[in-house]
Amino acid sequence: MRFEALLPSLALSLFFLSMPISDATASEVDAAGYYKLRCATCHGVNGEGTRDKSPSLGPPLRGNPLVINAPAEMLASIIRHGRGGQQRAYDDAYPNMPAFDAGLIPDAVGLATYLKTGLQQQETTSHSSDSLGSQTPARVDAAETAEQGEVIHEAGPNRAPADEGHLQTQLVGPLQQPSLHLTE
Amino acid sequence: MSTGMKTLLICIALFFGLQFGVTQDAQAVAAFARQTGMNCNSCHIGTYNIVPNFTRTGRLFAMRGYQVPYIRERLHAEGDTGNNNEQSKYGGDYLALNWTDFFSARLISEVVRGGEDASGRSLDERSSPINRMSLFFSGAITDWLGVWTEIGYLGNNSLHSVTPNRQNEQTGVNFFAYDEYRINASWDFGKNSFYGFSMGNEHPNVGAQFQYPLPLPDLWSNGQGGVGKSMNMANLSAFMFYDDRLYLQIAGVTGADNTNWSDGSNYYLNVSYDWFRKTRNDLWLIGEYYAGNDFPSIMTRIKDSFLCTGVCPPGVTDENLSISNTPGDVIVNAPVERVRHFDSLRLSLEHSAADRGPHTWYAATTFLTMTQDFESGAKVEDTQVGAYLRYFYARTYGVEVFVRDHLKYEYTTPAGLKRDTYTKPNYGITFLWYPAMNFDFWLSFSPRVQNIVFDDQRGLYNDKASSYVLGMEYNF
Repeated sequence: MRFEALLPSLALSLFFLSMPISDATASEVDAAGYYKLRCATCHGVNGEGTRDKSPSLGPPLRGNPLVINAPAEMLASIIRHGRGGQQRAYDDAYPNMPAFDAGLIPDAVGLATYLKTGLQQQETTSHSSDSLGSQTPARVDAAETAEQGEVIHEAGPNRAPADEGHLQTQLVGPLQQPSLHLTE
Repeated sequence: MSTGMKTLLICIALFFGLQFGVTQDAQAVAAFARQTGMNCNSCHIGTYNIVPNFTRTGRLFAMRGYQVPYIRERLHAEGDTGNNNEQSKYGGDYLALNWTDFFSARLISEVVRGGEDASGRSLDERSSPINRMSLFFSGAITDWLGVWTEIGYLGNNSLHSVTPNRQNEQTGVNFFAYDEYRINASWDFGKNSFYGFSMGNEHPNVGAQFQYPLPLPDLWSNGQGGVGKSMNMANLSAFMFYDDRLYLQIAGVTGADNTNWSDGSNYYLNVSYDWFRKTRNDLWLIGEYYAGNDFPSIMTRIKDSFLCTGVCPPGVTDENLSISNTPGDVIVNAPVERVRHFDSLRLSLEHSAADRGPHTWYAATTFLTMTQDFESGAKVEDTQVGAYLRYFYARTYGVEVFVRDHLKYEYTTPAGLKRDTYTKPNYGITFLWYPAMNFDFWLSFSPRVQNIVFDDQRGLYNDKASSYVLGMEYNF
């Protein structure tokens, strides 16, 4: 067989291989970029959550006591393993939290660190203000903390421990909730 | 085989080999999962039975027109926009998510089918290893526009031989059976509120996915949209969802059996209320009204033959070379009537609970009534009720049961004579096993497959038929 006969298929393959695939572009962006790529659809472009959107896909992460107080490794574990089924923490309209493997988010600890630092300092843009309506960050914190306390209490017995160890975290939110225990 | 043919085959093999080797990770989950990052269980309570049941998230996702919040930001993060301004203002600055995100497919195989039909003939020959193959291209186009398309291939419609006395022998020939599409545009107008418009070629109640589960009473859908096995129809809808709980929809429909607006049309109204609004506890109260003057009689079968013009000649039957499409339940020996006007009301309760401990279920009950006034002066009234449950333990082991019955199915002749019908409740049970969330086996039983007869012709009643199916389904 002549090599020229393979050229059409090689050309076609190269053409399709050159098409953008999300995984390839994902590796070129930083933690903030990964947040927008993998997290913002559910948790809001500035971490404000999507409870006020339809469909509601995820709780706020900015001002979230768990995100603020839990170790980055614990958040990374949640990112890696997700919170599907019985492990889902929020008794609300949200679906399961999916798992993101290393192909989707190479540096989970780096992203978790961003959630605890950069995202918490995020300026609320006009875009996210629209999505939040009149809800201020302080009100988000208060509502979130109250919900978190309620949910943790409810979901505790059913929650399976994550693979990366049993971490006990004292969560103290803006409402001074007393000793909320979360087993992960 | 010629050298040219060998070269072509090698090229094709090389091409697909390269594609698979490089892109299989990106195609490991279905289209919506790729677009949203969520998995199947986020939106579905099992995928069995052609059209899967939905969690609250899944229903709102479809209702909204396959939109998710902040898709614009994701497009920017992927670098797929033509203009990298911080916030592009114009539609031309967007590029819809790439084709690997959009494309998905479903394969349904009936490994074993058995039982007997009403005449005592074995149903074994109806097994279809490729029962159904669907290709989807669906999702968000921009942050206000979404599309759903499906092209379906039905292997269970194998065309039979037309040779006299050999008509039960399959030819192995199949055809593309149907295609469906919906295009939805929607916009937010407040907290958990949106409004929008849609167009498509199915009944408009697909917009909110309230026509499912399939075993419940349904006189409207008349099969799927598209050409081939099923009749086509067109619809234009306006809808809104207010305050995370109230859904309103109004739609115009060309008719249940055509796409012509000029020969009559129908309209559809939907008022629905979501009571609890939680993933683990979601209760919808649904009221639907459908009326108009372009609808076939529910008593008789619509039949368009691919083989014969009009009546087939003696010795030739076109049972498997024709479209037989009936929105209702055929009555044996029912007169052929032409509908002048019809009214129909359906009231439903649908409850879903996803991952409540190890338990997940979807339950529904429906009351449906339709009255058809015929041009002859006759009329028919059909009132049905049905109940349905699909339950899963740990999202792995499931069972689905349904029962439905006619409360009243009565034909009134042009002379005013009332002819009641005779039939019995219909029921079925299916056992489900999900080794993975996108792969399942099922075993279903339909203990009674019956006909409907006029009460004054009870001798024609037959409920001897039964059937069972062992199948599998794979979504990818």
